[in-house]
Amino acid sequence: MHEVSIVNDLFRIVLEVAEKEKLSRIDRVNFQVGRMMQVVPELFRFAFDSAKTGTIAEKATLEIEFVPVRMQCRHCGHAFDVETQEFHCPRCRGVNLDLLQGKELFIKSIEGE
Amino acid sequence: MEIKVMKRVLDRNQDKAEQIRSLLKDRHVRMYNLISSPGAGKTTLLEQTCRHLGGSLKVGIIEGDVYTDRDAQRLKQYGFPIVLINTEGGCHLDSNSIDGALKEFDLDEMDLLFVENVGNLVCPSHFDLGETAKIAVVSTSEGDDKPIKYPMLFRDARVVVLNKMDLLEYTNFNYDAFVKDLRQVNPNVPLFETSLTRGEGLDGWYRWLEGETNA
Repeated sequence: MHEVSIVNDLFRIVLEVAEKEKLSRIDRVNFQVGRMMQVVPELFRFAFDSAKTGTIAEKATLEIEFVPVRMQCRHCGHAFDVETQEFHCPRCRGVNLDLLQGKELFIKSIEGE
Repeated sequence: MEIKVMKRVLDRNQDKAEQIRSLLKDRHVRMYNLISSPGAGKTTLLEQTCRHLGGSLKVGIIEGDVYTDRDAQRLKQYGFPIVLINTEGGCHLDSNSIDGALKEFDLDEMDLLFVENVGNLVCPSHFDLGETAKIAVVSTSEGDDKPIKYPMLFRDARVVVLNKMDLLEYTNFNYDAFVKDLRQVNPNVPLFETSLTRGEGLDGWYRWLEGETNA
């Protein structure tokens, strides 16, 4: 249930930005989540809907864009997406890999008036 | 209208963790964050370790527990200072709660700090506490698929303890599959195989700890 902590921090940032931009209503939050973070979308949405009650984001929708886990092989330099939890290089079978992306918890933008 | 935000969530946790990391480095204190499922053997590992280290190193313990003080009670007899953090249902510790706990210790009188995180393989691995290293504890009765199911933890772990080796024959744990998966996720991580209730298999762990402390 780390989803709740993530959502709480997301709201803190979103409401700060909305205040600075003098928004009176937030309609949409565009959020990126790396697959490595094991965020469960249903739990995340539930936490989002609970947190938005009574705020200027009361009617906001949450757009979640999942970012694939992308690794680069230290042996041959090949970069690839990890799709089936197979953590080895498909080209040379190397297992010494650097994580290029997949740990994102990133608020891209908000929409509102 | 659309407003670009471009901000990372949990940055505040990360910033506090970095402050803790540099504070501990200044004071020459090493902090290990123990992460496992409930019942894998974190508290027993700490009990054995406290008993072994005895008077040789000055140890402190930060005990994360959802509601009770039972683990802290188990560890009290070893005479090391313990700070209990009850998360009140929360599934992980964060750097802010560690920051508060650290104020209870005299860091100048400390070599090693162990943090026993809340029993959970997912959430604790997302919250940097400013630790020197994460230690993953897993047991044979949980199944052999943990490294692949929880790659975030097993990739980040600096040590993996595989516990309950004495129960291996009573489980369907596939040892070779476990090692193969672990090596895929974290090729070079030291793996220590233990039977903690019997106090067996800990020599490698102690050597690793001593090596780190003298490094």
